[in-house]
Amino acid sequence: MKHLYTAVSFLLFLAVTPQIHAHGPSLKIDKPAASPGEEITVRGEGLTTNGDVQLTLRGILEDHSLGSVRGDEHGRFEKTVTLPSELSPGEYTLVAAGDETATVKLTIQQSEESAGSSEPAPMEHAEHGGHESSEAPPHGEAPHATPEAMELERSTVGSARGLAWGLTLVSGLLGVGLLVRERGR
Amino acid sequence: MELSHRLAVEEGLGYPIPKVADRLPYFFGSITFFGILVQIVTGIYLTQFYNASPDGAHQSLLYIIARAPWGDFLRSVHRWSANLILLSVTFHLLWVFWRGSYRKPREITWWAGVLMLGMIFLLYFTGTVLPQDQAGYEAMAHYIAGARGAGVFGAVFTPEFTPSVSVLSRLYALHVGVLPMIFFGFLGVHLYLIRFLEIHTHPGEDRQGSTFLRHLRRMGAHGFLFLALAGLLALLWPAELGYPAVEGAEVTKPPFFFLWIYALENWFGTPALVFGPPLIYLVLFLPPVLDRKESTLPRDRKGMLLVGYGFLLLLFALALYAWLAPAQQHIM
Repeated sequence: MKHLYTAVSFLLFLAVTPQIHAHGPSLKIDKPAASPGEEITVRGEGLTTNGDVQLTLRGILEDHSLGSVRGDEHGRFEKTVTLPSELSPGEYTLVAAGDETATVKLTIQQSEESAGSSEPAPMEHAEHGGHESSEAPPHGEAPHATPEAMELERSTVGSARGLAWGLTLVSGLLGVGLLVRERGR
Repeated sequence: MELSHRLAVEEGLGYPIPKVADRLPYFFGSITFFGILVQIVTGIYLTQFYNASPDGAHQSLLYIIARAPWGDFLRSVHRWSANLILLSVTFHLLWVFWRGSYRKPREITWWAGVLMLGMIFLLYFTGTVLPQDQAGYEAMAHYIAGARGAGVFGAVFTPEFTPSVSVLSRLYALHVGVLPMIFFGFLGVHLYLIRFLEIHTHPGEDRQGSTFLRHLRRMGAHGFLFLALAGLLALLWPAELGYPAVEGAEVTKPPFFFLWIYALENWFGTPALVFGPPLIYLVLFLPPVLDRKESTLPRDRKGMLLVGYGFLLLLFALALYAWLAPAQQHIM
């Protein structure tokens, strides 16, 4: 009998769990993908009642604040925000943080205006292998496509770079040392 | 008791090999192998950060370069090592061709090597696609155009084959799983045959005089030198990353080792993608079939050497032409 009570209690728990989740915080956006500079509408509920909710777009390298919005007495809110124009294409997470936190995925697509480069190379001067092209695609088809490399912030700096030099040197010395020893045999 | 004794190192690896095999040109094969090991180690690390979805790939590269500890350096080593592998495997191929070592009974050793060469080129190609910068995107677009052009033979590689997963993810699976597995299968055959058919010697060359164990130590030394060179190049010229791709644009050219295909594309258009690489690749299978002379000495195989190096020169001329020619649109 005791086992029966336990089983029934467990089944009741399982039945109730989805209901609990159904009333938890939620966050929605009107489109799953957008371009930099475009407007999106954010809706949420259950995060904060009569309080501020901070909206942040979390990228792989940096976060972008999208401001805040006030939740009503039911904890609901809706806000249309303009996405920062400097966003690079990729997958982002929109985070809404009040008393509770909710997230939703947002894909940033290439925009026509910002495609390719912040300082796009003119198509007529697309270069490869040191040779200047004179028959590149016309402007209308691909406004800012460029074969040029990005200016990058790099992680291997300071002591990490010193260590990389050290390992490279040790590897070279080991190679030469082993060869010299083998030739001496 | 020493560890080497416990591992029966002397008994297993101390067998005699020709003295001539201790010369530098004989090490390009093992240098290539060490390069592959470097690729595996650095590749496993990079895999922890890479996102193989079309929307996240380029961003994950930015993360690898800017945030991942040592990510920038190890990616650069991966990139340079890939280039050095192509160089060393080319030297290995040329040396074996010069020596006539593909001749009976070593035909299958040669063919296994040619198949591995194909895997290396495919590994290099799939690697260039992964960053999804402009060059990577265009390389993938050419891959898709080639697959579509190949009809039923290429159908499985097209985006239309399945909507459940992107072409990029499938190329990534090829790069990190399928191609390495096939490569090591052929490598097993290659090494087995080298072991039991022995290293090819010309008349008058000592068939013994050294041991594989000594050779192995020198191989290790060359491996360290390979690693040092890749590290040095990575520190001096870190691997670059292009801007996020603009769909529909075609403004880049392929890396040097693929430029000859670009030249063919300039003349024959998309069909060159379908027929060019397979036809030129198939030529590499021919030497053991065509060269049936008794002697393997270079002076007795002048015709074959002339054809072989003429073929190489042709590829180089095509690459040079493609490098100098203006960028063209082939598929967009």
